Amino acid sequence: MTTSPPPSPDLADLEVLYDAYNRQAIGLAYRMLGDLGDAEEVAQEVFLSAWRSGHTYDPGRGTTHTWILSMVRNRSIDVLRARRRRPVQPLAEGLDPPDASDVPTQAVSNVDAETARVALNSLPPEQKQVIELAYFGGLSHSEIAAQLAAPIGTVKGRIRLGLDRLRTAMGVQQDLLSTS
Amino acid sequence: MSHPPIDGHSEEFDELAGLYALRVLEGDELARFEVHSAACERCQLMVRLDGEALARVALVAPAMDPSPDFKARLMRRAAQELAAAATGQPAPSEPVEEPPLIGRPIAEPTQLRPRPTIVVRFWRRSPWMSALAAVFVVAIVTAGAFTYENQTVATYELTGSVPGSARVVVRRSGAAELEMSGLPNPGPGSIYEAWIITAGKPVAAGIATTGDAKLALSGTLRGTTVAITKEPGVQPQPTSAPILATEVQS
Repeated sequence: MTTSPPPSPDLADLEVLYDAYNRQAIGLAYRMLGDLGDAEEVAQEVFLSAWRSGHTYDPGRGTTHTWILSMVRNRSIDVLRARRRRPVQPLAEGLDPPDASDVPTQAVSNVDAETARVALNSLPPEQKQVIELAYFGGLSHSEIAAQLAAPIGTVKGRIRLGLDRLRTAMGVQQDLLSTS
Repeated sequence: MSHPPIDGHSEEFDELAGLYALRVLEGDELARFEVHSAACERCQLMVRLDGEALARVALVAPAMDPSPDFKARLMRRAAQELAAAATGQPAPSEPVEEPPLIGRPIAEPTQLRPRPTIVVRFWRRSPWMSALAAVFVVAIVTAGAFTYENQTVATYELTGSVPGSARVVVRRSGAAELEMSGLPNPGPGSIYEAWIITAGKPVAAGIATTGDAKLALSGTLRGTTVAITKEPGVQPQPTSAPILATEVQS
């Protein structure tokens, strides 16, 4: 299923979107794929997809930035999985651009690369390793376990603990969970 | 606001929530988690919060310049879509991607700002000009392809305690080389051996009999450590500690 493109998309919107985010999008795709040709193919599809859906650059908001990088990651994982020829969790399930009502305020502000880097580097090495393998390598927990020759349960636990620490380090609302 | 788990919630679902947010959950566990989380507010919240944190991890990847013609290719393809739409021809259609509902980390309402530009009029008014532009770009790309493929996109200096220097040079094509310069000659009966170490497992990557050498490195280097040891002849595994090493991140 596909959505109809919004009326009269403007090339200038695409250009502004591209100028704002292309280096980060290419950087992420390249980090994941290790091949510039594949990275550019992914980035092209992502920018066109965002443009078709009517996303525009707004320096006052972080949502488009984050959404674009999220799409870059998802499509990069598709490429990685195609290379491995093994379907896992489907990534492109929906068709419409995300709805702002589903997104907490924190996700659209304070998007800070240095903060993210510090947070990731603050993790114990074994937790950072499994999260990077899953996030940038698109590896499942069983694949990570095989690669590290570690029990699957250990990998699951490290990922869970690592994500908990990441949330704390990034200031994501922990209190919501603690009240559960 | 409370986000209670449902009956049957366990720590296992906390773990699965993280994997789901990472989008690496698979098989029966994926199906089981989706059934459970559909009714479990705690799991839904955990996926959402994990997703927020993970969305920011994307920023850790170093920004990188695309190839010089990338923007032109992108704009050309968009212009072709607009032209096709304007003439009533079927335009290339791509689904707009959306993360799964409970893992959706980001969003923004759709809105287009009117931004009339000369560029738009140029592409829309003249399909022939578009074609000429495409030919021009292809010619440039072809002419510059070889040079472009050999451009250095990253270098990693090996560090250690020996004199001289060594570095890993990564080309745009993905090819990589280990360049050694000014290292003391290994001496009679000895060689320098390079290693690509993945998850603690070294794989031999080449040898050098002098301190000035260039070795082609094959395979994926991203996430590995490239190291040099001094060995008494070619070895399948290192017999001594590296004298130089670096981590390769891209």
